[in-house]
Amino acid sequence: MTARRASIPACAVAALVACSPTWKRPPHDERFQRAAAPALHPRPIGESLPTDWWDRMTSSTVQPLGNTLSPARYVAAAAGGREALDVNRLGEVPDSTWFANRIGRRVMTPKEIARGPGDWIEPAPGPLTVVSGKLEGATPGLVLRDTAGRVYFVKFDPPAFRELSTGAEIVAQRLLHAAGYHVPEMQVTELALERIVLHPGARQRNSYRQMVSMSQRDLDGLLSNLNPGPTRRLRALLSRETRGRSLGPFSYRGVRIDDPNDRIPHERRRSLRGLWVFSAWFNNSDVRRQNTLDTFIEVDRRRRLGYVRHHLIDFGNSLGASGERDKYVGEGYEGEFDWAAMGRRIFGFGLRYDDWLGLRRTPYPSVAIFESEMFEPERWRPSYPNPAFDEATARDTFWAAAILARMDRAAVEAAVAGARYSDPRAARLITDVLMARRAKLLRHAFAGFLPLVDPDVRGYRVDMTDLEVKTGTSREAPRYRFAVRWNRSGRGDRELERGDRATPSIDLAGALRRIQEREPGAFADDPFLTLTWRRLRGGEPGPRVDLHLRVVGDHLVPVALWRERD
Amino acid sequence: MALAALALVATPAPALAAPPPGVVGGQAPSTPPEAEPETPSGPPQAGATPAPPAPPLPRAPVPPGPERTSGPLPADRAADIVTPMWREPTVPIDLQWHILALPEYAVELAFTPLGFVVGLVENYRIDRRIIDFLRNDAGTIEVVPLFKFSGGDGFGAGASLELDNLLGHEEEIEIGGLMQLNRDHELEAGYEQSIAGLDGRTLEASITYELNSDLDYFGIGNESRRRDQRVVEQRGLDALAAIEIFERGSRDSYGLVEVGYRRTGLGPGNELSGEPAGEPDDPVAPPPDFGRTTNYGRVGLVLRHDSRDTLARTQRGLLAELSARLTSALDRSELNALSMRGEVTAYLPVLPLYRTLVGRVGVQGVLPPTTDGQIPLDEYVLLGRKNGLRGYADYRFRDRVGWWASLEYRYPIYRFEDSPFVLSPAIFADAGRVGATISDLWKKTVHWDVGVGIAGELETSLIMRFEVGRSDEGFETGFSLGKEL
Repeated sequence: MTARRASIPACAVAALVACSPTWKRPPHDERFQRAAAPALHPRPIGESLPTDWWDRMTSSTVQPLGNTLSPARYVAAAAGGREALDVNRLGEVPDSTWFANRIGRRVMTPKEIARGPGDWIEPAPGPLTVVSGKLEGATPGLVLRDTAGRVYFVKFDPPAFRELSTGAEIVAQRLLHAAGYHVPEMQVTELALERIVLHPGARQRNSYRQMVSMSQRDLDGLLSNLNPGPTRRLRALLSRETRGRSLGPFSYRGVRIDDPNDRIPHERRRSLRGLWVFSAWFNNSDVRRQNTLDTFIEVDRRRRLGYVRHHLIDFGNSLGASGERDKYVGEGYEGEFDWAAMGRRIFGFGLRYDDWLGLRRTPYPSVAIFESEMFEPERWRPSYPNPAFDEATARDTFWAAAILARMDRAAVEAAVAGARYSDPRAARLITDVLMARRAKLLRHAFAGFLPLVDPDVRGYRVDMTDLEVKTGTSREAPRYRFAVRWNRSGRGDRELERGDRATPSIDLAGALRRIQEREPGAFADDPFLTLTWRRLRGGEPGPRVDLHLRVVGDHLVPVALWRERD
Repeated sequence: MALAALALVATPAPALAAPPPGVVGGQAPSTPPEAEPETPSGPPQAGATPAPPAPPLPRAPVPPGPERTSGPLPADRAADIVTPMWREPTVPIDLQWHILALPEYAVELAFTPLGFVVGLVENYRIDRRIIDFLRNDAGTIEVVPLFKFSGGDGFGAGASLELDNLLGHEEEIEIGGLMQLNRDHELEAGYEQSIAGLDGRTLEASITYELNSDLDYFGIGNESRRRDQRVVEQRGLDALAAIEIFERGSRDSYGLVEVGYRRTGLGPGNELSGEPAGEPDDPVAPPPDFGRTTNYGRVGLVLRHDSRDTLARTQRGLLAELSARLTSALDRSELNALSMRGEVTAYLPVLPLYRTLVGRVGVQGVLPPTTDGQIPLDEYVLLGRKNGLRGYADYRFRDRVGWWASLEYRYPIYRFEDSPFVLSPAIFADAGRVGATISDLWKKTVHWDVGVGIAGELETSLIMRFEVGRSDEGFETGFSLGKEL
């Protein structure tokens, strides 16, 4: 830098910095970050499990009614929605107590995906002692303790649909874990009936929800109703207790007021908004607060301080399963109390038939109703409205779809393999349907965007990946138009280079060298470049992606990314 | 700040020192700071130094940082250029947003008390406890709550004790009562049993007492006006015995012979409910049996053909009923009536899946079997909200002959998952008239109405039905739980 440049008045420089966009201020965000370590606090008092009926009533009627009467909803819709707050400048969600980037950050092997989270430990040999009947959820179950003292929650399939519920839970759990959500450890196994013994103090809830002793007769009744075969073995889904002490569910709206780390309203979390993409993918229609879990992780045992971690649980409504039975034909196509659909039908006078009425079960009881032909992402509905899903913007959907795009057929097959379907045709069908639904979701999510992701910057070379090309959802041979400009604060930008390319890759060394030769030390004051990509569709440029880079010595560092929506 | 900004822009990118061992991502792992001593609580004392601010909460250990996807960091990068630590943004207060969302909060607040009730019911399964309390394990004894609501009569509640096969003869015994807010009440006891010796034919016996202090009465005739409305008090005691004509197993046909006794007293109605009938100089003549208590004997015949596919969500079939009844005063021979009634309801599926057209047509005539006879009030042909004309008030038109017809289109809008519960709205049109002679039936003045309704049904029973009818006399609404409307 010359002495002349060094003589720029300090106030002008200060004005430049003050006027510059916030993404220019260091330190810049790395692409994958982690949230600050959570502040330790005492364990929140009490569980806040709302009753199931009231949760259904508020989700289906009270909140939608309030939403309909609220001007906020319409203002938000007109403004394109409120953007999520748990996002860094490169559009990624940081690792936190809510989410941990996995397949989005690195390649996961099929073996990893099939294994699922944690280090699964099979129950120790010997008897499995029943300590209680399963307290919550729609499927019959038990809580077992093995001879090593480990506790397992056990769920079974409905007798008429073997492998339906247990398989669905495993597939969804594996995929959500790979995506980055915190889920419990679970595995499918076969239990010999002879191993299951009743603890004298075992308890269960009776029909009045009172805790009463569980008798041998109760246990025998539960097991015989599951219709074990002549082998006297039952397929069961075993899951481990999630780490920490249970605090009950979290809401998809608002914050947990007794958690000082929970500051971002949940409906403004991209990780929760984007969950709709995965839920629609494997048709997990029951995405309510009842199927979430907060746990308290105690870090400082002496002072009993810790923090809250947030999990998703209970995926028994995925694929073709719906708890104790197979899915009703309309699940995923409309809500359980879908007032809008009812209103349309009232004024339709019965002349219109929903297309999903024509759906039929697959030939496999372990699959039931799970299809891709009629599936349309924009029409998918959970059984009950989800406040976070309702606030999802197109960018939230894109983020989730970018993760989904990394789950190729091998990854899906690995997740399905974890479910251990006895009929390979059923497993193949599930995989095929998941891949077809995935393709539709990707097309829906990428519409209006240029899906360039994964900025890989080495030296002055910038490579990006076009997800439509990578996933094969693009039908035409792509052509990209780029422009590089020197992004200057307080002064006009200066274009350095532009052109067309067959791939979204470019080496900016030449452009930077030319400007450095003309203006030595050019980037000392304002070291930012903006690389703009557009894809040509029918000769016309589409929406753009702006990747902001900082010149640091002999290389570039990506500092921000903006994605335009058409 | 200016000097700092100057330092930032004027200094060339400094060479990055190699990160110290054990540091990942350019930041040392932090450890929870030692907690500072707790500050004393309460207001500061005069002259005392102000209490120090509360110490920040300790932090959890930082886990290892994320792996890099774009190759190792060059050694000359400044540690403060990029950071793996995400800086959580300050959450905006968004006051304007919350102001716009006030209606939403108000709705949720309004429903909060309901949440307590629902939570209480579910947590303690009060619903199941009540059901179990009201019936025995064998299902032979059951107490059924009864509710009634109508615009004219108001709200009523009661209960019915149902004994099913308690004595082991396949009998059904029912004893119940209902009282309304205006103290009108009904009491009923019934017995029903199929007699094996009669090839399974059912024998029924019932006794009913009813007090209705505000029975609407508009006079006799098709041309009666709305403002002719009067109220009559009716006390009635009915005892009835009936036996089936056809043996058990007759698929679609049903017949009943009945013999009964009725004691009726008519008098001026409750003046709080309207203008009592029978006032001096009232242009609306009271019914013939007004102002006295009369004992009647009855004998009747009912024939029914029912080929509907289901009882509630009928898609196709026919329900036809023909009945005749002779009523005669036991103490005054001029009060008697021979009534004949026929009604046919046809169900036609116009489109698949419960899009059904229901057509109904009926005719009834009553005449005194003796030349000097007079017809008791209860025996007149009656058209009104519960009888064929849903857009008119109850008991609106009475005369000796009448016809009625209706056309209704029903279609489903909601089904709860795979359950049999369905919500089905309907649009309907009714027409009818009464007259003094048969030739009056073809006269031009026909009363008609249109309306809409909605029903909640299972396959074999109607759970609830709500209807709104509109006629030239205004709107009428009807709501019922169960079959009666």
